[in-house]
Amino acid sequence: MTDMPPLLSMSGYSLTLRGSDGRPLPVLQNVDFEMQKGQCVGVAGESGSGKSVLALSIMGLLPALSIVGRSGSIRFGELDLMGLDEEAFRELRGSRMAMVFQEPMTAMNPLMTLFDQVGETVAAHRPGASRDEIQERVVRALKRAGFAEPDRFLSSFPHQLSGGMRQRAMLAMALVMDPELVIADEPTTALDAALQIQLLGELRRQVRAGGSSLLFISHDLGVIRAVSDQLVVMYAGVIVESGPTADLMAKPAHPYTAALIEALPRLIIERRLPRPIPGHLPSPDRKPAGCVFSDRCNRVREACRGELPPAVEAGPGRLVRCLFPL
Amino acid sequence: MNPSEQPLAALTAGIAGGAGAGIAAAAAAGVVHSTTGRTVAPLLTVAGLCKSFELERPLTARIRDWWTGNPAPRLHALSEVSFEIGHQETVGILGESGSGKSTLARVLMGLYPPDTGTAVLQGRSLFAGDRTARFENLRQMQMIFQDPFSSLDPRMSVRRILEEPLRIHGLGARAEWHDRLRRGLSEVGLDQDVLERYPSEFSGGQRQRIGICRALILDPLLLIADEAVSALDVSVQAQILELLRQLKQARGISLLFISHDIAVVRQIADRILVLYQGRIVETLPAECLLQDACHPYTRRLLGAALHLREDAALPAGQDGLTGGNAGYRDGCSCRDSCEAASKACEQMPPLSELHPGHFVACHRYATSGLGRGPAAG
Repeated sequence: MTDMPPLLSMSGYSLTLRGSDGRPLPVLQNVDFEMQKGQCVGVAGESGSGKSVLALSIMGLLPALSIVGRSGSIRFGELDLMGLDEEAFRELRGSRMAMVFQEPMTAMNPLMTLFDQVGETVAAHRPGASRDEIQERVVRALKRAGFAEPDRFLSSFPHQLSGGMRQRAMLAMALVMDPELVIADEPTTALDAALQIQLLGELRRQVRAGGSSLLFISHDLGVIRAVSDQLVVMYAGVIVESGPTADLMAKPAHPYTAALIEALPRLIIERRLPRPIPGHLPSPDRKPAGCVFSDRCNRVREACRGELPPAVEAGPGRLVRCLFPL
Repeated sequence: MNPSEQPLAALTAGIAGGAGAGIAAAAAAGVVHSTTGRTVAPLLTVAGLCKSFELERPLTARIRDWWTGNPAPRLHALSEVSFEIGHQETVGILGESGSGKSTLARVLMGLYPPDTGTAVLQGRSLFAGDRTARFENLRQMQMIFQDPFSSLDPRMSVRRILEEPLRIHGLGARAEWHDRLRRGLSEVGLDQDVLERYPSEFSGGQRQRIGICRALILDPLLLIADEAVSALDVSVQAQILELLRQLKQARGISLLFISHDIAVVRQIADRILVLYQGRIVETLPAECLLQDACHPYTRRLLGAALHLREDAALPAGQDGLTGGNAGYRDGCSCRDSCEAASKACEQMPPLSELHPGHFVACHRYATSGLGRGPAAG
């Protein structure tokens, strides 16, 4: 698409983790995707579809002992993330890539003030920084994350902040070093719509203004549509469809994407319950042969049970892994 | 079929057939329903419910208050909350975090004592009763919790989880329990073989089914679902909503459905109460929500939800920062963010009826009287 090298690219990435009983679990299979600088990419899928593991792979946060095997490549700018050691990753995390976690109550240390939590990252990456320097950065990050008067809250503990403020604090922690890549894993799930929109708007604006890129993970396509330009739909560790968000949501090509859209609660005049997807996501070691969605798909045919369908083009910039796309 | 079309017909049939002594007894009381004109006593009547909590403050501040005689500042979680739930009706409580929704559920379940106010379930008070009366009330009201992970004891098998309410309430002979459990499981769409398994072996949606089964095992008249689907993926959410709808129809129970998600509440509820800073600011039939909702707070929630759900343009001013919870004070709590706020808004507006069944607490509608269309908002 552009001549610029992508900020992040994964190709043929597969990952097998050790299950709790020692069995190997193939959690990601042949993941290919690219992210340009300044882009907001949404990753959609149910819990268990592998989207969080994808984020942890990029951040190098998977426990080394649980990895049974992995192949393919992950590149971040000029770096090959597959070959990076823990030391180099620590250098990277917090400064060049950062993560906003789902649950602010468990992701924040209850015994640390807001200043200490946000400032910790600065102190770690700028060992010589004075307190004033740190404070300046912290206040700026909190402002960017939507705190109107950050000074008032610097010595507050997490339990003294409301849910929305805690989420903003998490965002500030991610933004404080102006990272090139921000990964947000379901950052707004537990919030009401008005608060969600404020935060999503903030996230998008800040990411754009700072020239960074955003990888936004959620099970809610409505939320993803509000924040991303590109969409990646995952099912059972496989990217089943990808492309421009608006296009993909208007005309889904994969039956799973269509079902996920049908499951969204609507606010149109005609009142009906959202349509559930029958059955449930298979565990990684019980995936059906062939297309991973074949046992829940209402359009399944004999050919679907052969092998994993290749990713084929389904319009400009769009790829779909389905033998009989919609 | 649209669940909101059901209740009245099903209700009259239920009474004629004498199904459930409770319903018949309530009908005998013969009270006219204030909003619908039905000549049936509501299942649950809540009136003037208030609950406040003392704010946690440093010891020095507390000593200063005590010395100067200042009253300790209190957080008013619920103020003057009154509503009714009819037989086989689903009432949705809508509000953002901190609006008092969960406090309401907890007060009704007897987990917090209310400051003032009454709640009457089938002619029995929920708060005044002695232990046995309270016990009986609790059997009629069961709760489904938000988090399917922390609301099931990880060390209890599904059998023990489901038998616990039966044991506590001493219901039926032990020999019948197994049948009861089997019926309950098939009702919520789970296989029989789950009985000897443990919560950790199930997915979020399956656990929520176990939670629903536990709530139904005592044959309650009223289910209170506090954010019962908000921890679940959208695809599983849809499954659980469908299950609740089916159960409601099959069993003829009433449902108090509490959620922050306006789209979800609208799908499942017959009537919606909007709670803001502990007060009911609007109540209306669910089918009117999109066209008729007129309280500024409801409109704000609706605008945000329409943006997320239907990709609608965001109403002006909503993308930016708002003050958030300003804390409790007198007067209309929306007046800072409302463009039509006036001097009158320093007084708390009363709930006034716009259309039959549609009440709103907003001075704009109270002063102009009935008949003024909500389009004026």
